[in-house]
Amino acid sequence: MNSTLIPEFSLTLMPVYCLISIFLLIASVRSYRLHGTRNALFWLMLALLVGFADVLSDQIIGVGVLLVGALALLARAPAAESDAGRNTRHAQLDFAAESSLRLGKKLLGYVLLLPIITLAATLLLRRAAASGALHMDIIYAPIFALTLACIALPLLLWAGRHYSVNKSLAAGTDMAHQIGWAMFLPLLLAILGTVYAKAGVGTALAQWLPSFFDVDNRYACVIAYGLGMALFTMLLGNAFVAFPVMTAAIAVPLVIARHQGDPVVVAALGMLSGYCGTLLSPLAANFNLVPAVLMNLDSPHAVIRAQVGTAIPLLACNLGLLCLLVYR
Amino acid sequence: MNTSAPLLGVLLLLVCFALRVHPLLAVSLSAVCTGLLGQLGLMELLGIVGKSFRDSRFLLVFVLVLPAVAALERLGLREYLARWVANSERVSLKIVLCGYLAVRQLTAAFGLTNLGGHAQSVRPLLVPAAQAAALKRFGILNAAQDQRLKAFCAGTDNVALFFGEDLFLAFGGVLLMQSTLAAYGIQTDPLLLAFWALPTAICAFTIQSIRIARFQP
Repeated sequence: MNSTLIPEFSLTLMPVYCLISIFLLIASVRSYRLHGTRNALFWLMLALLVGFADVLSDQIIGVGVLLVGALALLARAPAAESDAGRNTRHAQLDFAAESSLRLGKKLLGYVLLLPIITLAATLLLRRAAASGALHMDIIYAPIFALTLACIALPLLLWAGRHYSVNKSLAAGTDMAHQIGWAMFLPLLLAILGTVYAKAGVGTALAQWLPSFFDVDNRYACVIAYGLGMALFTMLLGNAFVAFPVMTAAIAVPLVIARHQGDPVVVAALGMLSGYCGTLLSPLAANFNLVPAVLMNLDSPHAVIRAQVGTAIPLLACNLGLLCLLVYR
Repeated sequence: MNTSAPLLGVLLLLVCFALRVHPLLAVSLSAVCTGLLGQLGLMELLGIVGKSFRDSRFLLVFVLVLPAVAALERLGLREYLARWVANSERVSLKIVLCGYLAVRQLTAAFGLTNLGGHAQSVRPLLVPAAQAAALKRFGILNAAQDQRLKAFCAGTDNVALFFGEDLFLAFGGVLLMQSTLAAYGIQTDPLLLAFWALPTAICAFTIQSIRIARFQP
C-alpha cells in the first residue's frame, strides 16, 4: 500500500498496532524458549517498532528497521523435525481427528463466524463513522472489523469450552514462527518504493526508457507502459510501488500528453497489468512466499509456477484491451 | 552526479536477485544505495525509511488472524471438511475451486478483501476441501501432485483477489491512481477507474476457470 494514502490519520489505528505488538511480543517469548535468542530478538525488535513507532523519531525507526532486517538474516530457520517435534505433531493430529468428530458442523460455524463478524462490524463501523458517532476515517472500518473478529473467535472458542485462549495464542505464534522473515518483506518493499520515489527513480526512468521504443507510435507507447508495469512490478514485488514510477515515466508524458489517450483507461489497465507482474514476482511475499510456507510447499516458487498459466494470457488480454480502449 | 544515478540502485536489486542474495538483504542494500545515489543524506534517508515504516505497518494486521485460524485447525477443521467433501456426491474439484474463485472475486469487488486470504481461508478451508475432492477424482495423490494442488489453490485466491478488489472504488489502488494522476493536474472519477477494471476482471475469471477445468494435479 502506498504511504501517501495513510498520512495524517495513523494515530487512529493505535489500538490495532498495540494488539499486533502484543502478539509479536508473545511470539518473541515463545521463540526464545523454542528457537533461542537470535530468533527471539527479531520478534522483540519488530514488536517494539510496531508498538512505539508513534513516539520514536523517524531516524530511530529507520535504524530499527535496518536492524530488524539484519536480525532476520541472523535468525535460524526452524530446525528440521526433531523427535520431540514429531511427537507433538502426532499428538496434535490425534487430537484434531478426535475433536473433528466431536465438534463436527460447529467447526464450520466457527470458521464462517470470522467473515460474518468482519462483515457485520465493517458495516456497523462505517455507519457509525459516517454519522459522526465515531471519530474515525471510514477507510479503517475493515481493519478494525477484522481485528474485532480475530479477538472474538478465540474468546468464543474459550467460552464454548473447546480451546483455551492460551492454546490459541500458542498455536497462532507457531504459525507466525513458520512464516518468519517473509512477514517483514512486504513492509520493506513498501519502504523501498518510497525511497525510490524520493530518490528520483521515476524521473531518471523517464529520461532513459523512451530510447527503447518508437515514441511517435501511439500503440508502442501504450504497450511499453503495460509491459513496463508488469516487468517493474515483477522486479519490485508491488504494483503500488511501480505505478507512480511508470506513470511518471511513460503514461503521463507520452500516452496522455503526446497521444491524447484516456487517462482513466490507461491508469486502470496499467495497474492491472502490474498485478499480472505480482503473480510472477518472487518478491511479492504476502501473496507468493507466505502461502508457500503456510501450505508447507517444498519450493518457495511453487505458487508462482501455478500462476504463470494465468498471468501470461491475462497480460496479453490486458495489452490488447489497452490498445483497443485507450484511444477510443 | 547526473540524474540517472539512482537507476544503479535498481540495477543492484536485479544483480542481487540474479546472484540469489537473500531478498531482505537485496532490498535493504538497494534502498540504501538508491537513496545515497539520489543524493539523499544519510539522516534524510533513515528518516524516509522510518516514516514509511510507520505509515505501512498496518500490513502486519494479518498476524492477528493467526490465533483464530490455528486454533480451529488444531480442533480438526481440516479433518471435518475432508470428510464432508468425501461424503457428498456432487462436490467435485471443479466446483470447489470455481465456487471459491467466484465468491472470493465477488466479495473482493465489494471491498470485503479481508473475508478471505491464505491464512484465513486457503489453508483452513480451500486446501482440505480441494484435497478431498481430488482424492475422489484422481485417487491418492503423490507428494508432488499434492504440492501442485495446494499451490494451485493459493494461485486461485490471488487471481480472485487481485482482479476483484480493483472493482471497488474505495480500494487503495483506485485511490492511488486518482492521487497519482491528480499530481499532474489530471482529475479522474474513481467510479470510472473502477469501471474500467471490469473487462480485465472478466478475462481473469474466464482464464482461471478454463485452467481449473483442465487442471490435473
